[in-house]
Amino acid sequence: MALSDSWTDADLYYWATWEIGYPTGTSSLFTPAEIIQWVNSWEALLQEELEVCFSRGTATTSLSTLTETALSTDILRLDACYYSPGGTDTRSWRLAPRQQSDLDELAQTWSYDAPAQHPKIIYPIGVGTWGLWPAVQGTATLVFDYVPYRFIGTSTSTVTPLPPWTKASVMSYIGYRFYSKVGPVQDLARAAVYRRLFQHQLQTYKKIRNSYFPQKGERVRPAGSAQANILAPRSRI
Amino acid sequence: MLSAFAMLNSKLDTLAGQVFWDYTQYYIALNEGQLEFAARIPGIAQVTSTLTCSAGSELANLPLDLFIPQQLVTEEGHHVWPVDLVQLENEDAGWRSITGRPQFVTWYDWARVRVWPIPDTTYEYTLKGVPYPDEISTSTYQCPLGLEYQEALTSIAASRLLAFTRPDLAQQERAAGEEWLERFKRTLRKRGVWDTLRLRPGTGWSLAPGGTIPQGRRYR
Repeated sequence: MALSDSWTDADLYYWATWEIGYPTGTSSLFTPAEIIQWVNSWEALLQEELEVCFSRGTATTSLSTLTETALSTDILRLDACYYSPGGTDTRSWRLAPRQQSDLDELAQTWSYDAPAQHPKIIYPIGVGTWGLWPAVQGTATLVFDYVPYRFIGTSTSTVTPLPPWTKASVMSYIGYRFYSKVGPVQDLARAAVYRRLFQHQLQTYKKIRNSYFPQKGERVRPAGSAQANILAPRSRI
Repeated sequence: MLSAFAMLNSKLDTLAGQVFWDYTQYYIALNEGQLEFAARIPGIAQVTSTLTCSAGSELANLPLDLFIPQQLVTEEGHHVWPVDLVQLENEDAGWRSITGRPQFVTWYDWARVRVWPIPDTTYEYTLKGVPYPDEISTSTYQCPLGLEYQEALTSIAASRLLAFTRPDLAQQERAAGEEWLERFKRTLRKRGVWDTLRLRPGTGWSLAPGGTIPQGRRYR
């Protein structure tokens, strides 16, 4: 296997159990569900920290309120959201992220505004709930980018979407979780070594991430640099 | 020069065979060290691959054998400049609706880039970049980058393997590995292949076409 090859779910599970001394994958000291949960946590942790893997989804909506779970069930963080009127009109615009307080200043009666064919703004209502302003008239197509969670499944040939240069850290993370566990296997000193090793790997990955890979997505979050730059362009291409 | 495997075996003093570690652990530790080094000392090699920009798709899959993409070149030899998403938004809020021959590239995630304008037909551009290191999977493999690199690599790998049973020795090996790595970096600087272009906006390289050529750091 070349270093550029990603591991499958089966590989992740094998190397995780191998690191803690049970390459057959079973023991009375842990359950497969525990290992799978730790691997899931490892993937979520790396994604939260690095955001190196994105997914794209499409939804057709006639609503002015969006719930993330209706868009997709694996959204860790919603990123850019693009709007297209649909039908024969294939044009597409990015919805600008704003807070409701921004809308208050922009148009005091914004929540009573009539629906329009071209919503311009996306604003947060609550965790996982977003509103569009003006509300959508008819139906519209939304294209959205997001940072996904992933849960390893029973399909052993599924390949992890994380970059191959992060794969070795699954072993140190599982070692840390395994030896931290209450019970006969607990070894806090060993867990601390594993944790330190994992932190070191994470620093390395952050260095790769920050030096050679894209800046984190321009968030669907108001008052960020993206919004400021869009309002006051600093330069043209 | 000893092979990487033999050098690691010597540092661990397990010449009699697989007493404390399975040899698989050797290879994992060595390869893990290689990936760490690849992140810390990029630009040691460059390979060429193909980036296919499919008609109607703003996202193009990066060739997975490239660790760090560096330069994207059109079929006619023009370099495609890296920009960021905000610059595209500034250029035209409806940028996702504009098609043509891609002239700009921006990142999407580690495995994909966006090209803009969105391709009106399929284009095949040349992508240059840093490859992944060779996987070490045999006991006879010698690191082509030389003795300093291999000394550093085997010390770091030994440090990884000794961490749980001999933390004092692991620390010693880590320090030795870091010292060898610094020596290797110094050699690279003398050879003039230290810094590398990167396909990422905001660097001196991507600012250059706009007329800004900041003085690069001498060392890092």
